[in-house]
Amino acid sequence: MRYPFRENLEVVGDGAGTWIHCSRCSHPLCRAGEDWKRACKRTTFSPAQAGPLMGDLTGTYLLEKLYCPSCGALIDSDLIEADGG
Amino acid sequence: MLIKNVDPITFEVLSHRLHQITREMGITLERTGGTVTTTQQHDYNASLYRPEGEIMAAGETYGHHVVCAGFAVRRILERFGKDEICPDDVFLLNDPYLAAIHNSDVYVIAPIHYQNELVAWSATFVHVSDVGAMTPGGDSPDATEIFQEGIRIPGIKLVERGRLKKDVFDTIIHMTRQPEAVGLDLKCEIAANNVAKARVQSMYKQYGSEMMNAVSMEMVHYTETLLRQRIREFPDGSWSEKLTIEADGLRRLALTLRKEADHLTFDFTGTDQQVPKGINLPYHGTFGFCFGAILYCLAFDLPKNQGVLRPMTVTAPEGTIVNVRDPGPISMSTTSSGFGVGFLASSVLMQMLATSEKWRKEIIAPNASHRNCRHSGVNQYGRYSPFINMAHGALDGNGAGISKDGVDSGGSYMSCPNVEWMELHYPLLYLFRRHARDSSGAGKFRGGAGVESAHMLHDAPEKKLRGVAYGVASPRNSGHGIFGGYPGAPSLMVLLQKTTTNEQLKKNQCPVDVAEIGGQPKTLGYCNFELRHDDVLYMRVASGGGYGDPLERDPQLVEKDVHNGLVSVQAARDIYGVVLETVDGKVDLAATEALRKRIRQNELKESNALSIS
Repeated sequence: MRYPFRENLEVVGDGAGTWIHCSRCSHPLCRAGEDWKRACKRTTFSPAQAGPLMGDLTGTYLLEKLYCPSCGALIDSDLIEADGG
Repeated sequence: MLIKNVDPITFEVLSHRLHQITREMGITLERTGGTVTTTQQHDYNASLYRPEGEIMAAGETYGHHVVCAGFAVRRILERFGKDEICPDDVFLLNDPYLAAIHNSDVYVIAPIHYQNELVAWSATFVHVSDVGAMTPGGDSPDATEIFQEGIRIPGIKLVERGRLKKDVFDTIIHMTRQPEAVGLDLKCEIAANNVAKARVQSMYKQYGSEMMNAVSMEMVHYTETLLRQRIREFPDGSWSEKLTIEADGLRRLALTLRKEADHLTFDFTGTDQQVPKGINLPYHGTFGFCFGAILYCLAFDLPKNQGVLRPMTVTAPEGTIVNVRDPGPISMSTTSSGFGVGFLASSVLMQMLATSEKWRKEIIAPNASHRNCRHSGVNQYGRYSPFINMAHGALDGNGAGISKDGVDSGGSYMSCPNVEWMELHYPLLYLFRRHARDSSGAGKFRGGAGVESAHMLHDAPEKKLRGVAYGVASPRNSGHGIFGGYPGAPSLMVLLQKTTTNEQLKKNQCPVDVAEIGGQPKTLGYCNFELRHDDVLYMRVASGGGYGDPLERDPQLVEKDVHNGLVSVQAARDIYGVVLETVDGKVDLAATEALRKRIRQNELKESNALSIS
């Protein structure tokens, strides 16, 4: 069994269970049903990295980026509250 | 086919003809409406229903109103009973706690009889220009309960056996600040329902009741069957999203979509309690916005009817922002939590679509809406009116897709008059209205650029206009990026007070950006305000979110964006890693490749990740 999960991620099933893999390098991130985000490399930046008009969000938001820990493929970007709320 | 005596060709012809009637109803609204909101901005809906209120043929524009008008039909049936519903009657309802979403959206509903039997209903809504609320135009940021938000009618007979009940009609329009315009809009709704009645009765005469009933039942069955098949194509699972709105504090909307077999459950558990601010949404509104999301994500090519509703359940805890208890205020619900719910529902559906190779091509980065402004006051001809500056979403940039950029100022349901038309009819002068540079969410495919504008008074007899700021007040409004794509620039509204713009204009100088306009900036949340002689109102609507990694965008496309003024040279370098030659602005491919590698290595260094070979 193999089907896409989102850009750069896929669900792969074999005799040993079902896993979420990086679809670029096939690195297994976690078991299906677990939080794949916790298995990613994570960095945070100033929101201004997403564009000069995002500067007003500095201090209240951070730009979070998640990468495959093996090949560095970008999997997700999101604005998150700076205080973790 | 469910019905053995309906051949496929007849089914197709009659199905399309019924949908075409809804289009003709819409054209009637546009051509006979009393305000720009109806005639040019298309803030309306027109649909047909089966005798018990099930959606038979949904019209274009707003999906959520299609559902709510169906609720309105059922409320009329409950209130009057079939014995009191006569041929050529027309009913009116705008109660948000029964079927409407806010008081300004007035539903006009008409039974359609054939040979004295109730065979169908037609229904329209238009957003009338005023409902006698505490704030002109209806959206009332200071209201703390619905009793301050204008007239509220739970269902009334407006036309009895073909005769307008003038006493009722006059009573309604004289509870508003603009009786002539509201009267025209109510009459355009009656006209559209009359068109529907004539066309549907003509079809019954041509094809007979048995065939027409069979076709409308089959249309619903056909849509339900195909939609359930589509839902089954996805693996079972759940997907979540949240949105924060700033209304006297941060208010959270949360949604989890659960997909099991051929059924979808939208669960809003985790959403905050309702607030004494008109951003609350009635349950049927939440239901309607989820219907709209399914319609546009999964059922865009199917007959639009009750069949879309059957595979879905909506769980919205009572007393929350998405299922408000009477008498909570709701006047700003459609453009705040309503569009918020639409965003959440689209977002979780897009995540579900990503699990299917077949459906991934339909993914578009979802948009969390924008800010908006309605003015009211006396125009250069001495006439009073409330009016919207930029129609909801009409000039928003659209989200990017898996293989294409979002459309610049692609908009949504509504349209927007051009600047010259606005200046001709209202006491305004636009300093600019254009695509906002660097507003698109970056990505392998970028979001569409939204529009920014600045306007001030011109030839305003009272030297001021009232204004009300509404929409989704949140730094996270605008387009959200998807799968690595960045968000679009936030939509915002800034009142620049005490500017020197009038002096500059007298010297034949026209300020073309916010820095040149100057003045004292005041960012507007949900509030009333005044636009005065030396003030300028700056607005930026939503821009689309990007799709995928910006460092994977085709450098030639970035070069084109820079050439077209949509992306700055600095953003091309810092965000997309594209180096442009200083002489001719062409891409330096070797330098671009090296810069992109360096950017990613530096990013990963921040997280102590391994280096990229």
